[in-house]
Amino acid sequence: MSLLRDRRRARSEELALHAEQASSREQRDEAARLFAEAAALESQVAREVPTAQARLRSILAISSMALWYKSGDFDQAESEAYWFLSRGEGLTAEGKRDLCDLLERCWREREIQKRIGRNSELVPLEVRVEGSAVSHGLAPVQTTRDVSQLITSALTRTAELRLGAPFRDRGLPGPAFQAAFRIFEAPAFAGSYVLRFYLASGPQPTLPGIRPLDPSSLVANFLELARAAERDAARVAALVPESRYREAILRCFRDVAPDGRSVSQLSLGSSTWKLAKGSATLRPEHRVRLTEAIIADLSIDHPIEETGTLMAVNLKAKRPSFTIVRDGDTFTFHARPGRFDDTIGPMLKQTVRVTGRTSQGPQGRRDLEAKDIQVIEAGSSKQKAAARRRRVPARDK
Amino acid sequence: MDPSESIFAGLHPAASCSPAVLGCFTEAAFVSLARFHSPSTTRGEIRWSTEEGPLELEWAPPTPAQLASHANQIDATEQGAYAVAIGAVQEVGGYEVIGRAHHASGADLLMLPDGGSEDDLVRLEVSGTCDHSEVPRRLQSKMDQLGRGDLHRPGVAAVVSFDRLRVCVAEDPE
Repeated sequence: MSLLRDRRRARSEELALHAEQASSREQRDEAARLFAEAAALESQVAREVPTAQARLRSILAISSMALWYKSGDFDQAESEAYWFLSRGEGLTAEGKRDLCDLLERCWREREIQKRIGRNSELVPLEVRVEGSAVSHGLAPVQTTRDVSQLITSALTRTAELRLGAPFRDRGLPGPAFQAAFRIFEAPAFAGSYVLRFYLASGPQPTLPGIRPLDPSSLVANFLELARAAERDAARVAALVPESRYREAILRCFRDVAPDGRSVSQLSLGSSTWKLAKGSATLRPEHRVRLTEAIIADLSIDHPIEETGTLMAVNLKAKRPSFTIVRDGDTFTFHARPGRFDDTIGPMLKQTVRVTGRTSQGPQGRRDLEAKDIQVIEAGSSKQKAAARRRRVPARDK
Repeated sequence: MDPSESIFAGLHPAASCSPAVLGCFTEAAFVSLARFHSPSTTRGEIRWSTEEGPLELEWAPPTPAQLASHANQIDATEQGAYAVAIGAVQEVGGYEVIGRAHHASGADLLMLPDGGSEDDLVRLEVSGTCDHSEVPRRLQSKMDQLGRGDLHRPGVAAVVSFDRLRVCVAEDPE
């Protein structure tokens, strides 16, 4: 009988299916046990495939290792990989690569699991960065740092939204919320530029009414928002009715969307079997569309637009402010608390465009309030002059 | 292969993989179809590469137990898509589906062309959706995955939508 039709494989499939069903019912121990049984059977068959059938052998080797991985037995998954890799022949080039990638994933997750405990769930989130400045395993440090910070901010807002928390105006989430979920960042896979995050449920929080957050749901929600941002900002509005959260989330996705200079595309996804597959890809056109959506959502009377280098930010003041400088002139804008906390950090020392409103302050001084700020591409001095004090169409109040 | 006359004789694909697994996928398909259509026959379309044709599925209304077992709509859509895709590749494409192979992010189906040996193994990547406008994007995404390397080719990608019954299949040959 062909090994593909071996009864052990059929039994392994049934066990894996029951394991997936147990997992969806959050019966983690039962799921782990069933996956382990399935893995053991798949492994037996995989090891019997002749080395001359490298493709089949590779597929079944990865399948048996993946089943061990899904059972949470990272040591056994590691042993399985070593068994096949140490024999050299009988694996295709992609087969060896996939086994090594899964091995690396096992090492990372095993380390994180030691820190968070076996009872905490762990779900990956990957952010792939592509563009002219990105090559095998290398990317501009500014880009990766900014993307990492913005993604962390967006994940945090998504989590707070899911937990039903009032919109946070300043600073980092409090200890109670930090206890509900945890975000780890892992090194990129070799030969790629993929930022990797792991989301884990937190330990039991101490404050009443704050429950641990399910990382699978958080990642699923986050990707749903990302897909909505990719397709149409109105879909984000449908998912996030609360205006301050909506604005914060739109702003995070707008600022993480590439501007096309060094990065042309940014893809978000999760390579986990625990979630239905779905990803989002952001490109420069999304940056433009999301900016339009953010501006359209704000009521701007007496509009003003200024460009300059962002030199100073003070988010801790009672009335947060930031200062931009252009050709020796200084413009200080105030902002509503919490409006730019998630996104303004990476903009320091960069050329930005501020959209806002102007009004008469105390003693007749001009008061500038920022409604939106984004990094812009450095242009010619003619372009910069043209951008000065360009009027933004006012919305009906 | 001629999709111009595509009729599935019921959603009980006679694949060689585990009957329990097929049964689960079929139930999920019943549940997904019942969300948008009335039993027992639903008409739609199938597109195989550049050729298009009508599609007709015969199915049974899900029982209360089946509805309860497949209450998670996202899982039901994905698993139901497996059942429809298996029917499509077998009856239209002439493949025999022989089981699943797992990887870190999920599992794909393995199939052999009619009369083929194990060396002719073909991977089937399936995606299910309840929004037919998603089909082109998902198919492209699946094709991108198939193009990745020697384990994924030859491969076939299939996307199934349930709101407006549609099956789109694309092949990535060796």
